Amino acid sequence: MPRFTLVWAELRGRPIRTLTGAVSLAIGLALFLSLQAYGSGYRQAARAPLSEIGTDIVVQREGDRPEAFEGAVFPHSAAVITDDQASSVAGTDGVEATSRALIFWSFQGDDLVVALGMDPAERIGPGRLNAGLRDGRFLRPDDSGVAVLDLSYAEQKKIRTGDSFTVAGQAFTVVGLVDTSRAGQVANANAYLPLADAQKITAAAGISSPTDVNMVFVTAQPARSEAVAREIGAALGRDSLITTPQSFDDALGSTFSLIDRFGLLVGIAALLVAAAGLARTVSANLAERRRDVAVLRAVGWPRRAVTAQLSAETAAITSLGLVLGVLGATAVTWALNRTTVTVPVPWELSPTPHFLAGGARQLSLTVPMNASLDALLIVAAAVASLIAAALVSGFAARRAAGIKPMEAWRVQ
Amino acid sequence: MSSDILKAEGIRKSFGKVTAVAGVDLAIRAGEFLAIVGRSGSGKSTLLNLLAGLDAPDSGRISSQGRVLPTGEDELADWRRDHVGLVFQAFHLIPTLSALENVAIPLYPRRMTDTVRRERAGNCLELVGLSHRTGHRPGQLSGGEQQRVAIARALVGGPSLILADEPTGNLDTTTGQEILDMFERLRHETGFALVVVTHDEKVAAVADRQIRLQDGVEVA
Repeated sequence: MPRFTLVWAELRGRPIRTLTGAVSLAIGLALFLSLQAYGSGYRQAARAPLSEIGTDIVVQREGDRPEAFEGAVFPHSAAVITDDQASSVAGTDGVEATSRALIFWSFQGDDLVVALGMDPAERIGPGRLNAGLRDGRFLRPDDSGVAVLDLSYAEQKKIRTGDSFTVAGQAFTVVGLVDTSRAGQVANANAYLPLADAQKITAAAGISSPTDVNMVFVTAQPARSEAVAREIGAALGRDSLITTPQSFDDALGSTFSLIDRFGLLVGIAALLVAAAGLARTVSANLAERRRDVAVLRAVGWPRRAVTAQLSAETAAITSLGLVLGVLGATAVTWALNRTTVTVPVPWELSPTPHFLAGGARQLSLTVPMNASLDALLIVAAAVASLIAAALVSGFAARRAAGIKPMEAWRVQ
Repeated sequence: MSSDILKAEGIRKSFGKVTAVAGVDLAIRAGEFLAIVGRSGSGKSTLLNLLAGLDAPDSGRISSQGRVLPTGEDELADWRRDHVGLVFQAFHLIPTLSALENVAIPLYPRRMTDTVRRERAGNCLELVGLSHRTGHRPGQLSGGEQQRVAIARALVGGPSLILADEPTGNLDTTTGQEILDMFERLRHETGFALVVVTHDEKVAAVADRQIRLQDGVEVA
């Protein structure tokens, strides 16, 4: 059994060496854990735009660029999805729920209205916008001839609840105003209409049939989300536009890509360097302490007691390093969470025509970083560090414990 | 059973072509003070290390109370822990430990509570007049004080034999004399046999008996 009074005395007696060993491990561990936390924070941020409207996947089809910009027109990222296709999406294995919507542009003289037809009864997709209601009421399932406007659009156009509002020549009564700025910039429009009303407008314009939609919002079983996205994409064909959290990951660009791809590798490399630093400290410690080990052997300590004592010292340095490393990673994660991530929204979800002033502006959503330390990763890193330390110290301590006192003193 | 605490018969030890100990016979009786005297390089320290089981003889036999010393390192360590106290010219204290912890070191492999261990170590420090220095580390002690801590460490296991290699060699004359006086007092109080290796005739003169070494051979 190691003597913990002596372990403590030894660590306290050589503070520089103790701290060097512990801090080298702590830096590696903190770097490893912080990189993973940073990566997870970015992944979390990439999910924000979709999660804010309660969906995992947005399904669209790419169409042709409109021939003329008059009346009701579909954005070319939102060609029609037929009722059969939407039903097939809903029937895909792993899909938990779907919600349909119809987005279109209405050119009215020099003015443009981005309108979105939706089913307010759906618990996912644009139905979630009711959380941002600022005035009046939200759409109801039995509504017809009414609209809810985006708050900033209404302010810009000086429209209030109760006013009349025209979309593609059809009058709607404004029943409410919603603030969509926190709705992930997905499914944003100027005016929100009952789905059936929107379908009537686009059918009348001859660009769709009365049951067509052009956006399907999907929630999928978490473990199958990516597979479901692939399956839907394959079913809809080459012109399908499937937006998933991965699409936002991709849009986050090279910084995240670098962290995502190499974070684990860099983290593991940092841990290995830290383990090598610890091994060096342990070896240096044992070399420095040959004389002390010789004393222990001379006064009657058996080899196994010396080995246990030296190993306990290494274990204590390692444990100190682990605690410092986790504290360091916690501090870094706390600092990361004081920052924000700007998540670019893929072009296909942009509701504004790119050819209009400001239309080509990259949409983005700024969300607070939500990095967190993975408890399992901490345990895994701790176990790996302790095993590495045990192997190094076990080998080195056994060798050191085998020192013959006279040999050690002769060298000294 | 022999009344000799330790007995060496015809022991030899060489390092390469140099013969350090060339067939020495020696018996140490209970409670006696034996001085091994010789010039530098005469083989006296090597002889002491052989007697302590810190080095193995090339030939010959060393026995303790009628039993040949074991050859395994751990068994030799056990024997030293139970029967022998060691004192060195260079003190060989552990620098990170306090005086009390240094004294208690030989007791750690023994089954006893921390309280008993500290009490015994404290008693030994009191015997050597250092009860006021228990928390000091070796670096905070004078040479004489360090040697007293080393003597307390040698005493703590209650040995029947203390082997001391030039215990006054690193000390000034006054302090050296104090250490010798202390050894004598403690020997009479506790009854251990004392073997001191020295080149100092004044130290040897205090001993009950002397053996002289020259080129590894006992001379008259």
